[in-house]
Amino acid sequence: MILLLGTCQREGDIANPSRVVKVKPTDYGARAMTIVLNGDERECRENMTIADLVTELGLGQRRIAVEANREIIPREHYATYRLHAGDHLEIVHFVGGG
Amino acid sequence: MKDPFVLAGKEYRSRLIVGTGKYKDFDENRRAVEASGAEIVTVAVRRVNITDPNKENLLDYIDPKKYTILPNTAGCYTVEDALRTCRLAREAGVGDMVKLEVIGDQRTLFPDIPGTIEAAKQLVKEGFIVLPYILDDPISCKKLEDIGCAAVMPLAAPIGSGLGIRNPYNLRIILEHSRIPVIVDAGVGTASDAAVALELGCDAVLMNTAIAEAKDPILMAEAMRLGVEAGRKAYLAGRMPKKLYASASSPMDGRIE
Repeated sequence: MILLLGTCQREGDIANPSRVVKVKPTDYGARAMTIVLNGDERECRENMTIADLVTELGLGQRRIAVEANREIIPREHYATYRLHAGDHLEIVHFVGGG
Repeated sequence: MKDPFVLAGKEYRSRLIVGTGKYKDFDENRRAVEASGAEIVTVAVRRVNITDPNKENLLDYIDPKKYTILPNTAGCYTVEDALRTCRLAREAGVGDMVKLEVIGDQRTLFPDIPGTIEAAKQLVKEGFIVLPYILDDPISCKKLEDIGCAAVMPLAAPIGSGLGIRNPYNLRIILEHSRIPVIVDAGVGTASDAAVALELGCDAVLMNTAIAEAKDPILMAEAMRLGVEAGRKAYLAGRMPKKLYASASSPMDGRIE
């Protein structure tokens, strides 16, 4: 499952696993859900789209690729793809490498 | 003299491809790439740092409009990982060209040959321009060519080892049989190694550590550019045959007596 990209981690800048990054609970209240983003649990607003998440992360202008539950989501679908509790997301970009 | 390096139908002036790993910072990286004259630059695909996503990005320094970005699959030990990484790289929008690595062993970083061949097949089917990292093995190189790879990239020595061209004879055999570009990928340590690769007739050379881990990476990048140019010119010029005994350069006639 999600750990597959994890084998690529050794050279990367990927932080330690199983860290829970939570937004302030008041932001979403009862309408919060938990997803797994780049190996870490993350609380986010229920029914939010990938576009919402990408914007929230400040990645809107970046060259990134998004995978949801092992399926690559084309950029043009970000705005319509709604996240569900428990979804596994990978967001990748380019870093230095040889 | 016009002598373009043609890769997947595109012409490049430079025969040096450089990596972007191991640099002190993005600015040093940018200056080294500029000094190298490279037009193709390799990058890795990794998770975005979610805790600090606004951190500067490599591509803020290496402009994809100016350089051909070549994503690699470094760190992938399975075919599935390599395919996944290539598909993500393409989705991130820097084109169809990928440097395929399916690594077989952590200590040597030698390629998993059957894995590389299997992944290459699938990627070619999916329309990728595949540049596989492979051993300096003529048989594997031929197989990758037959599959439809755009070039073969045999190693000269282990990745990051700086040991230089360890088996020029294998490279010569690969070159004799190859109808696609042969790019030496990995093992080059200094400018003379790069020159040797090009003198042998290799079409280009790909390196990262030799520049990034030099004491002065910018100066070494320039040295590599010159080494590659010198090697290519020497190859085109055609070296003199090697002889066991001396052959005087000055005439015997007209000596003073």
